[in-house]
Amino acid sequence: MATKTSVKLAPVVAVLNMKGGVGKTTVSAHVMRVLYLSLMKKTLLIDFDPQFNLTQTVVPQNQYEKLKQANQTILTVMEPAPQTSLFSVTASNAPPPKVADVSIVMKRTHGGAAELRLVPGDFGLVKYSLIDDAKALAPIRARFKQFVAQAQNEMDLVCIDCNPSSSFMTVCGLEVATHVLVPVRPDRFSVLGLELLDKFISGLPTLVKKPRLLVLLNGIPRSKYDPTVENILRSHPEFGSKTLSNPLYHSSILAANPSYTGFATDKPVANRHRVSANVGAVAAELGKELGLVP
Amino acid sequence: MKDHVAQLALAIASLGLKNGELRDLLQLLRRIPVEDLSKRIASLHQSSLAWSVDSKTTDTQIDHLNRPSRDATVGQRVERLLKIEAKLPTAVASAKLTEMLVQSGLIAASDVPPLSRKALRLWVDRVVQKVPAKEVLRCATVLRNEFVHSPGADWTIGTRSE
Repeated sequence: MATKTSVKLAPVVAVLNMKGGVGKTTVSAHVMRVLYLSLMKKTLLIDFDPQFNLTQTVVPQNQYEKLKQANQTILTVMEPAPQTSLFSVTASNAPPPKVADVSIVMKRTHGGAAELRLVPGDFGLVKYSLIDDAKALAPIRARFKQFVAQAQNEMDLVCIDCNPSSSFMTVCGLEVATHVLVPVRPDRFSVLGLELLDKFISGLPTLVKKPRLLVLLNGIPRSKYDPTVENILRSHPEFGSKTLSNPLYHSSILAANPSYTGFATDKPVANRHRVSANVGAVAAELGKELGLVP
Repeated sequence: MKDHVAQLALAIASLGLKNGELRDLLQLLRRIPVEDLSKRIASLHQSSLAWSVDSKTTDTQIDHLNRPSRDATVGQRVERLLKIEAKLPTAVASAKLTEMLVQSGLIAASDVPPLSRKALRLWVDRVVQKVPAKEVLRCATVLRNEFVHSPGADWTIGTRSE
C-alpha cells in the first residue's frame, strides 16, 4: 500500500441521515470516487450499513461472494472470527485486521500515489441491532474504533457509509467521525431527518467531541425545481452555514442501475461529463471543508 | 427517427464544422456503404468497451473530472434569489447583501468589491472570492425570505432549543 500524502490524521466522514433514500450511497460512492482522483488522496470507503448498498453498487456479485468467503468484509473488522449466528458475537481483545488486508482496491492512479479502497459491507452487521447487551458489544465497538484510528494514520480520508437509524452501528460511526456529511433531498422527509440527526448527535452522551455537520443538497432537479426546502435550509440559523454551496443535481447516471456495477462517473454514456463536472464541484468544496486542500 | 436526427445533430455539433465541411460530410456519408459504416461503429463500440475494462482499476484519464461545471454560478443563483424572486433593484440587492455579510463578520466593509455598472451576478462572483460561497448563499436566502412571503412547507425544521 502506498504511503499517505499527509502526516496529519485523516478526517473521518460519516455519511448519514436519519431518513433513508436520501442518497447516502450515491455520495459515498460517486463523490468519493471523484474526490480521491481530483484531489489525489488515499481514500478508504467503509460500507457500514447491513443493507450493503455501497458494496452492491460498485462490486460485482461474483467478486463479492469470493470476498465474503475469504472473510474480507466489515464483519472481520468488528470480530476476529465472525459467527454465523445472528445472535452471538465473538468477544476478543485481538487487534483488528490491517486496512490493506480487509479492504480492496477499487481505483488507483498510475504509480499508486492515490487510491480508493473499500471495506465491503456485510448483512451480518444486522446482528448488532438484535443484540441488546451493551457489555457484549463493548469489545466490538473498541475494535472498530481501533481499526478506524489505524486507517486515519494510513489514509488521507476515511468515509463511512452509515445506516439510517439510531442503532449501535450509527453510534460507532459517530464516535469515530470528525465530520458528518448529511445528504438532504429537497423534500420534507430528508430535511426532517437532518434535524433528528442533529438532536441525536447533540444528545449522545458518549460523544466527547461532536463531529462537524456538513449538509449536501442531493437530487436537485435541473428543471421544474421547487426550492422551498433549500430556502428553509439555507436560511436556517444552525444549518445555513453548514450547507455546501454546490448541490448534487439529479441525474439518471447517478441512480442505481441493475445492468451496471461500478462508479457512475466511469459509465461510458453521453452525459457523463456534465455529471462529472457537478460531482467534481461538490468534491472540491467538500475537500476544502475537510481540510484536504488549502 | 426524429430523435435520431437530433442525436446525429448533437454529435456533428461537437465537430464544430462550417457549412461547407458539413455538406462534404453528408455527401461522404451517402457514398459509404451501410455495411462499412456499421463495421466502423462496431469497432468503436469494441474499443470503448476495452477502455472501460482496462480502466477498471487503474485511472488513466482524469481530465473529464476536472472540467469546469456548466451549472449556474453562485452569482447567477444569488441574482435569481434577489432580483427575480425578491424583485430588488441591483443597487439595493448589493447594498443589503453587503450589509448582511459585514454584520455577520464574514468580510470587512473595506474589502467588499465595488458594484460597478456590471450585472449583480458578476459582482457576487467577485464577492465569492473573499467569502465562502455557502455563506453568500445563506445571506442571500435570508434576504430573499424577508421579501418573499411564500407559504412555506407544512413540516419545517426547528432549532435545537425548540
